[in-house]
Amino acid sequence: MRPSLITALALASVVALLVVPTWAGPPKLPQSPDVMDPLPFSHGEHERPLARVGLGCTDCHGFRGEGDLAPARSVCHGCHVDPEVRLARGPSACGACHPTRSQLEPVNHGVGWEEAHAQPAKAPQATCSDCHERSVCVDCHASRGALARSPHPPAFRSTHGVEARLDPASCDTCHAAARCADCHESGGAPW
Amino acid sequence: MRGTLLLLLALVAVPATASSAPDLRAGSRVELLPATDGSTGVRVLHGMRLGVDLAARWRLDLAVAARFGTWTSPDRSAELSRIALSYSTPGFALSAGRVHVVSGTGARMLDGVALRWGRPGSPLGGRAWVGHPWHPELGLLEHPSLAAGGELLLRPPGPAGRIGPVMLTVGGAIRGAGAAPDGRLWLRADGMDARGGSWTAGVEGGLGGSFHGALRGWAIGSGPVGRRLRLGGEVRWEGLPRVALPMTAPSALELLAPQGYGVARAHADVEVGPVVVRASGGPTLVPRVDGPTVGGIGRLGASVPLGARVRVGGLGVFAQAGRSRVGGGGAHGSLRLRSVEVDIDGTLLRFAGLDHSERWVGELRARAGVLLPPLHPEGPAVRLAGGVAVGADRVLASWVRGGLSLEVVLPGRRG
Repeated sequence: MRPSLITALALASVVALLVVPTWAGPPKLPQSPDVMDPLPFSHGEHERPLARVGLGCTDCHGFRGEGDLAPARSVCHGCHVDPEVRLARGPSACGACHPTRSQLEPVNHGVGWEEAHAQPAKAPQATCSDCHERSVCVDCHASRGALARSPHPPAFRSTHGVEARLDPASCDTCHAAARCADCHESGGAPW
Repeated sequence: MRGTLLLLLALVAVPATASSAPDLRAGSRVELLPATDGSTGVRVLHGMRLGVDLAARWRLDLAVAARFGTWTSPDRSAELSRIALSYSTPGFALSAGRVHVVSGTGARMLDGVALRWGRPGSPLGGRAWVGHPWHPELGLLEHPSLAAGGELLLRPPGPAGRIGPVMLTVGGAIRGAGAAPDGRLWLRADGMDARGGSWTAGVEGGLGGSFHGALRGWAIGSGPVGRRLRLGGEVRWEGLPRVALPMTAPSALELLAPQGYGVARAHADVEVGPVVVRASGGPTLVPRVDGPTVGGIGRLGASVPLGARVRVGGLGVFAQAGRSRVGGGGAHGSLRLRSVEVDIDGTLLRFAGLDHSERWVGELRARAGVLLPPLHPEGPAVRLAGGVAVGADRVLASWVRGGLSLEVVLPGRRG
């Protein structure tokens, strides 16, 4: 069971990696931008797919007398990024519009960001969903594999018993009560 | 382990371009784990998350986890955390498989189908789902049940036709496991203002089944006060188990506070020059037949940079629930270099548990990670990390926990 599963996963992933790059993929946007400096953009590339899904000029351009007709970032991301929207399901690779990854990645996303992202991600003005799907959180925080990440504060090993009695419903967000038994009923007398 | 290493090596060897690479993260970890009898076990973990845009409107997401060794149930040593195929059009999205459904009352995992309609900012939208509840800590077959639900999202337009600042959610769900179905209804409101403040309030009630008449309610908000202070607070009544657990799985709420409880919490974040201070806490009230039990928790933390790469700080915590209490403090420090990260923290606390005897407990943790230089400028990122924690628990038994992990992240995609 164990070797076969892991081997299957490895093979599947390698096959996926070999197959995916061979696809024609989404059409590449032209290198000469005509509107959105500094990002490349072509009305010609966009008119047909947008018209096919019923989107017209005013769906991107506000025309509310605010001076700047360039669409806001959220308009672009509405089709290309936002997993809750994907209005026209444009190419979602960040590199399709943003030339280099280093320019695109926020400066706070460097080494150690995984340990520091909890508070910014909880902030009301968080922009995580500009690039990330919401379910990505679950893949790490509800995972029990090597990608698992704990959101608990320092000393939680020592305080969790009292904290669980103070707010047990918060434990239920991620854990079943049976989780307690993993430690407290293993390898000796229960605590 | 060998298979995963082959996978990691394969990923490192394959240069990826931003437009063609799938969203992929994979890793393996070896851990030493302390048991309550003083022994130490070994556990090996693997994990992989993969997302691929199959075509213009189709996407496949896959997440797998596996644990071998200490404290792993043989029938749940490997799990398919997510396998979902999604299709989306303007204003509509459909996902099928092992999906994560987020609603106005929380998130749940289902083997089933979830759909969403309505464009963001439009006055009307909604979600619906049906499937078999699944939970990573419980597996699938032990808790057979069926869950279905839906909700309407109403957003009254704002001034001048702009997107309104308030969204209302009305929803309902039902779960069945062979006995009387367990239903619930909810009403929720969310709002935000231009200054960065936000709030949410709602109520959820049980209808039928074992939670008939049980209630959950909440009011939560936070916002800036001036340039250097942000305040927040919440008031909750928790009398209805959350939706994340399958119906037949006992929740911590049912075990520890079956009659429900009330919680109030507040927090303040202050920036004083380079020093960042955060204080949080509040009381918990548990009504009981022989009189209410009052408890509470408070935390205080502060940190200051020492140069551009080092940050140090201190923390304190005090919590009491009934006659159990824990209190103390500690210090932490972090080093951030271009490719190296180091974190160290230590805490010493006085603990009095259910037997009322007071003991010292403490722990010292150290973690370090190295981002290895890429073989290709746009190729995968490889991170090698290790950590160790030592301490003494409340029965004065020393313990040690540690591990090494290797992660590979393929760039160029969301996630």
